[in-house]
Amino acid sequence: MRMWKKTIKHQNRMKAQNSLEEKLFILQDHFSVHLMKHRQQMLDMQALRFVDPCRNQDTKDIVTFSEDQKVKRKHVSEDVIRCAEESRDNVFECIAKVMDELRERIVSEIALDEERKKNNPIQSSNTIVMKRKASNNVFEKLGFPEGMTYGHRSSLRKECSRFLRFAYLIDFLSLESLSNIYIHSVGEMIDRLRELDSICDMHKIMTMDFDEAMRQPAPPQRGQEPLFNISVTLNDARAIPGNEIKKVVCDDFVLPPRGQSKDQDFDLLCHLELEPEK
Amino acid sequence: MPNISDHWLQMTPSSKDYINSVVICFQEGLDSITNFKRWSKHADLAPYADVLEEWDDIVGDVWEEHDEENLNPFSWINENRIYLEQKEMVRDIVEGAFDKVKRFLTRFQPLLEIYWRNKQVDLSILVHERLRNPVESLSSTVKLFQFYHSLFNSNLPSMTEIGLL
Repeated sequence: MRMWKKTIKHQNRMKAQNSLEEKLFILQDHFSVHLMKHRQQMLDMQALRFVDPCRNQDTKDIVTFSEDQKVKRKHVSEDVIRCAEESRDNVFECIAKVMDELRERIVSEIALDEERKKNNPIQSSNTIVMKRKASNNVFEKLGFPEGMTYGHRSSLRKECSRFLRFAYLIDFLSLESLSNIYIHSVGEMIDRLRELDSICDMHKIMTMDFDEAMRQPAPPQRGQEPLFNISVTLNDARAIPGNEIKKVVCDDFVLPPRGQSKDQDFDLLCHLELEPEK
Repeated sequence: MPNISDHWLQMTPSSKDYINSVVICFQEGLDSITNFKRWSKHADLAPYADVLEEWDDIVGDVWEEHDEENLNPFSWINENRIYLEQKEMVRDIVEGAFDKVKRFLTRFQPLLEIYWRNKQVDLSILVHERLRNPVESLSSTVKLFQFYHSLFNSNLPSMTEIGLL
């Protein structure tokens, strides 16, 4: 029973070890180098932002804001395409290296086999019939020679299967980077809006002096300029609802020395009067 | 008239215009990054997939070329709070900023009331033959308008910064 348990454990351990060796790209020569390179490329790419938070810029109207953001998106789109091309070159390079190495090994083994066949024709002919298969177009497409043994084809298929898995891993890292671009772009713009909104001191604004001559010029604070420009226009064509117009008592207008009224107390509606008709 | 500024002062563009403008940036931003060519199930890998036999280990079980040539991060972000609540977040901030502007505009209430009163007056009364105390009335009117001129000049800023706006 103890031996059986030990054997099972050993088998499970070997199975896990094989699986890790097969699928843990970081442990494999070429894949690890190019995987790390891809990761670095994706970390660089995720620093891109498709929004311009407009720091150190003048206040913009809505059209300029939209146009500038459009330009920013266009640049980011071009940058993402450039990153994708660089990443593609990297993966192609990885595949080429793995295939070249495998091709070299298979070609040298076939050459060695041919050599053996020459030296020992009887023994060699037996094995060749067992192992070799007629040339296959798919292998030739990848630049592999004719006359590969089952073992060679199995090695090639193993690497090809690995490429398909590697492609998924590459896409996983790329997608993570793309999603970070989105999340951080949106987050930064929202933070920028919030930051500008929070620096507004309403008490100061409600009590500030508008007289240019009296106003203390505020020191320039680059980066805190409002982001959006709005214009306020007077639309006096709009009627004021009657219930909002309140009547107030109007005092007599009597200037000093006879009274206490000031120039600004003169009310055109109340104090301009006509004499009754005689 | 406590709410005259609400009736007569119009802000352009509106808060909705700015909210839409920002949200469109986010939507089109997603499109702008959806141009990263995929690797998985891409035609470039077809020669390698063709080599495999049916009993070989194929990730995703069946190898078929994907309809979309580019990666789309939508499935990665569609449950993120930033994606789900972005419009509400932008709306809260921008509408809050517009509310501050509205509050600021109440400062012009006295000026608008003066303007409204002046609009109600028929100034031809100044040249009417039956105008009571014509000399004093004309003089007071001129002085009043001079006062208004100075008041409007010193209380109407050409531009004010209110945080975001």
